[in-house]
Amino acid sequence: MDDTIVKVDTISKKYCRTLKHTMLYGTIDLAKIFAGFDQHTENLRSGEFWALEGVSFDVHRGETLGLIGLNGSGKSTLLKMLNGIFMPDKGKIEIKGKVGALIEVGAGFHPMLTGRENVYVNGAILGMSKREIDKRFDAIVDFADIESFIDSPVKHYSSGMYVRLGFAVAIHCEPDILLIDEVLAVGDIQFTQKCFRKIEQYRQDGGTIVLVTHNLEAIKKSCHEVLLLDRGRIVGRGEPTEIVDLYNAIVFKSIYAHSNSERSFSREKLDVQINKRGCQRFGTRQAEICAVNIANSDGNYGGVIYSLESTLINVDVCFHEEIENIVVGITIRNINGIDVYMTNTNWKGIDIPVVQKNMNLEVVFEQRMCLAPGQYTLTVAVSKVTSCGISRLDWISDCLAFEIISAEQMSGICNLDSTIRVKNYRPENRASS
Amino acid sequence: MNNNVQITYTSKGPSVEGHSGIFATTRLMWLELISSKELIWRLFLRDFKAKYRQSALGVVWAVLMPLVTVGMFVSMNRSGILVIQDVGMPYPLYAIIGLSLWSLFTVGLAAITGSLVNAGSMVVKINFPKIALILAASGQGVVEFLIRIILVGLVFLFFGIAPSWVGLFLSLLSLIPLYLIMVGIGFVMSLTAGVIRDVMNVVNVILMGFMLLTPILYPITGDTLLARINVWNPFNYLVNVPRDFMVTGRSDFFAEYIWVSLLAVIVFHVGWRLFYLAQVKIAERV
Repeated sequence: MDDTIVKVDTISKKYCRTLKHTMLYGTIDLAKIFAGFDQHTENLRSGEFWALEGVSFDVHRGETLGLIGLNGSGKSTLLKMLNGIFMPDKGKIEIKGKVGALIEVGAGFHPMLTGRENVYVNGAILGMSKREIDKRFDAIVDFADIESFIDSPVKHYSSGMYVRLGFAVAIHCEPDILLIDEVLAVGDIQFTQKCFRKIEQYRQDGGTIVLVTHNLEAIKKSCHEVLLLDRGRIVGRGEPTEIVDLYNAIVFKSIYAHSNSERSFSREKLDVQINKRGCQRFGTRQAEICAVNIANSDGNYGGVIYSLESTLINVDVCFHEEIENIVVGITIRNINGIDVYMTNTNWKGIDIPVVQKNMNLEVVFEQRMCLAPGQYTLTVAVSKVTSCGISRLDWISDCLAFEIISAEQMSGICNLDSTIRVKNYRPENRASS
Repeated sequence: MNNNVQITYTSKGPSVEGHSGIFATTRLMWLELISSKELIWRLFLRDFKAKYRQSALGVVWAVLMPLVTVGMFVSMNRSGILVIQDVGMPYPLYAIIGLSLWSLFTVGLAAITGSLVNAGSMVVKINFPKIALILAASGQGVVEFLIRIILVGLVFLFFGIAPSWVGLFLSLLSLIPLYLIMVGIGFVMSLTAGVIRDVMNVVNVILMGFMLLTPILYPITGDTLLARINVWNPFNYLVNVPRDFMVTGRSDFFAEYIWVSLLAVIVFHVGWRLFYLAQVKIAERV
């Protein structure tokens, strides 16, 4: 017997750019259906674009397929089509079996009703009969861990409880194919782990999964095959590790494109960039920062930097007059605006000799990026130490953006690169008993 | 759906393995309806409970609204602003019955029209038979009507008139076409509201106008233009025949009523079919 459970055959899907077009085309399409005309969906009308184009793949029973791609690459649209919420405009999808979705849990919950009532409503929406829900009710409540609140209206629930209950219902509907879209990003860590275990168990019991996530570790760990989507097309397909690398390359390209080659800006572009990106710059400008570079030790710039990787930050300053007692410093700031690390030549005990007028000064900071994965910015400053304190010559905040990635999962703001040792032992006082 | 059935999604909508031919759609429509029984009931209960749970007067509102409207018409009649001809029964009784029957149509239609839009977040996230939303919403019209029937009973008592029991039964039975035409129109309205929200307001305005132009709160007879138009107004028969049944146990317009009922069945079925075919297209527009 053919064990293909999902067969996607060159499907395309178009969307409208504006609400105005949505209303116009919606009315026209509705009128056409009412009048019994054939729908010609193959061509784009003005204001439409292909959100997905020419996508084909198969999923076999018991397989886990991963979908990765940047935001807007069409992953969620694809899942919605597999779920039968949207129809493809071209091509066809064949599905054998009951599809369950952990797409956005808790949709259909009514705030006025109690948790118990909502479990029954939500279960019915997901296609469960009353008997099936009765049978699984205790398991659902137990999984959501909200026994004492099950008869309170869900509007009094915390957002975590709400999500947990929604997830518990969705995961207990025992589908043949489970669609998962980034739902595990919500809830606290214990619950997330519990969900992972539940999904893992479902997988081991022979369940089929289509998984969308930005968690590359999860992709590597659990998928048999990974599809990489970029702007609505499949640009890569294959072994998880190979495709994750390809994905990282695309992430890099995208950061590169967005930042308008901000990995190293030259002086001509500086003012434009500052106006456009709203980073702050001030100082007397007796000396000016004319270039900032970030690169790994091989001299390559990733845009993406691996955690713990050694990097060189290169700051080039040109001097409009002769200045002594110079200090050059950098600050690395995370996405929450926390200054994760600051250093400067003075703190490091480096004396910079007097720089003559019209001369340039190059300062290279070399360091290991012991940072947790995430987005960071670099702030650079040149100052002069005077008898009455520090005078800023030039200071540019957030002049560069880069992303730290890591193959290892961690949380926090820094990467202390722990080594873990484990040992089994018998406590002294129990040795004799 | 059982495990071995293959569903195919194309631009024309879903099709299920083993169902083809000219009646395939009709068969699938019925299958969908039957499989949605549980969901319809759950959604109906949800809306019903949610509507009355945090309301001090609760179901009393359903009775209060027609009382106020009828009170206004009675006082306009008494003071001679509005001259209403003899209706063969006490006027308040006539008006309350008419309004209650009509409310089955209006409350239900208004609820159905908004049902798809109000469930928007669910519609775009979960794949479920949307017909359940429509039928659950239609239940609100039925509930409100049943509550008002109690009011009608009290008014019967007040005037010391005994309704004909057979007539009462016939009357409830004869409301089925009114219900069907309400759902049939609602199918189309809910889809249209999904694309253009204005429809929800338009429906309310039209319903109000229709009530005043149809012989619901007062008879329209004679050789006026309105009376001639009302000969062709299906709601004239769909409301007045059940009312006649309730009070006298018989009606002079039974033949017309049968034709209109046939029309109601057709409207229902056409609306349902359009809804079935268009529902997959509407999720992305809601």
